[in-house]
Amino acid sequence: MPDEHRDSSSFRDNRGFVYWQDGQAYRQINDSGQEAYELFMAGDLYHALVQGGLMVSHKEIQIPPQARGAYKVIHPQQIGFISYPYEWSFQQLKDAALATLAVQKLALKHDMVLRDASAYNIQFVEGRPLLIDTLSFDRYKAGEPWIAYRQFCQHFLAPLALMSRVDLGLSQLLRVHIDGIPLPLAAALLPLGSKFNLGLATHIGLHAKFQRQHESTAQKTRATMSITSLHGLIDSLERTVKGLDLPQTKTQWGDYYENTNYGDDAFKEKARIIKQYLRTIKPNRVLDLGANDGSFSRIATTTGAFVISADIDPLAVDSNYRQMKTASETNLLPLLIDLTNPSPDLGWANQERRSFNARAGSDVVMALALIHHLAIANNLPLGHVADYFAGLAPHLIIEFVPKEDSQVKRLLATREDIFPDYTAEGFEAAFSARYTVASKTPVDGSARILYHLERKASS
Amino acid sequence: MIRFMAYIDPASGSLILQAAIGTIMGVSFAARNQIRDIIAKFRKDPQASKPEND
Repeated sequence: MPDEHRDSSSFRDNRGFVYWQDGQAYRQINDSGQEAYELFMAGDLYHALVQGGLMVSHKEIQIPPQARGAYKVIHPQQIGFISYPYEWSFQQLKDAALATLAVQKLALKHDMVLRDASAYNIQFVEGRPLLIDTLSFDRYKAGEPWIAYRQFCQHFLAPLALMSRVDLGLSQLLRVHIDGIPLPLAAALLPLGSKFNLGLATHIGLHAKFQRQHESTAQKTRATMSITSLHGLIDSLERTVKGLDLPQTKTQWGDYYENTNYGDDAFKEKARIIKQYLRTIKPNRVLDLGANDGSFSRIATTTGAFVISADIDPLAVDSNYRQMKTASETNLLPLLIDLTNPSPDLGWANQERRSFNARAGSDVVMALALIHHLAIANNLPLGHVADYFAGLAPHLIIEFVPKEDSQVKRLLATREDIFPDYTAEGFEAAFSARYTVASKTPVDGSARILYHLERKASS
Repeated sequence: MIRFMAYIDPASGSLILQAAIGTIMGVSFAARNQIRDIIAKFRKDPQASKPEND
């Protein structure tokens, strides 16, 4: 394997790594990972996890001649879109946490143990949170505590507790703390009431105290625990996670479709036009920006495309994800993205976790009922918006929302109108630098206009 | 003594805490399982107790 193809996030584990070839991900298992991998495969844990819908499948392939120190090379099931925990809604992170614990329970049944509990090892594949790291297992040694306990609490329990008990927006702490939220920080932020929740008081409060007390312990720890105790610990973590729920609040756009000024007929007309545009484009991948709860993303999935359904509102994304789960939808990925500040390149050398822009390239961008939020609420010049969208996909389906629209009036109600160019003509002029108009359709029953724009070759 | 072969830092405090709370959690886990089994025994529907492939 040529080292330059090695995935930039795959450097921690000495037992192997992920590399890319011809757009496909492969995993090399080093000689040092042989024993654990053989036990994992022969002991049938692998099949139990794949059949249980907890892990990606893989095929062993011939070791390429240039691979050094390789015991095996595997070709895992490929993932439509790599997403990160700070881009997930509350329920997505909760389901990822419960999947991790389910994997650990199944591993223990097979005399193995999950040796890490990184949220980045979980990816949403066809709607389900799956473990993607084949090298995450080791033989269980009697008496051994769970090595990944700290990581599980930092990556899952602390952010979930903070989102549930303090503010949903605190999931963004995961952007700053790439190995999970430090437990002393989580303990300091949690309200007093959390001390009366046994799980949170133990796994976060007491855990933080123990970490502080023993942070200078230089020698190997002699801590041991029985297998029943280990089961008890996992069970306690599971009950603590299950006991955390969304806070009972409403966000700005969480109930957008209930309060919209679209009548039923105009809504259907808008859906019909979008479907017609998509049939012409025939996309494999659609990027729906400002997707709210995914109503129009779902319309896009009916054309057979995989849809990344992104929105800034954590409740709307959560609602989108719950709908997806209920309907067992497989070609939709709800994501929490603030378009005015999308996920940046993060981690070691700024190359470990890739920016949203680097991952989001698609066949078509849908920007429905979004332009006024960018141009008016965020003061973005229309040309900047055109430049950004043109960098993401060759096609754009965009809805222009004029100043007469009640949603725009609301945005302008408390501020001066410094947007003389925010008109249909001004919009078309600004976007003409990047796009040509393939179709333009006023939405009957509303003052809005839908466009299918095609990126100019020079863009 | 257990030798940990982890590539991540398990953190001494995290290991010691597990040893400290593990017994209580283990006992509580085992007790809850037993209670669940007893309740299940009393509630058991004779039809439901048949093997699935019967």
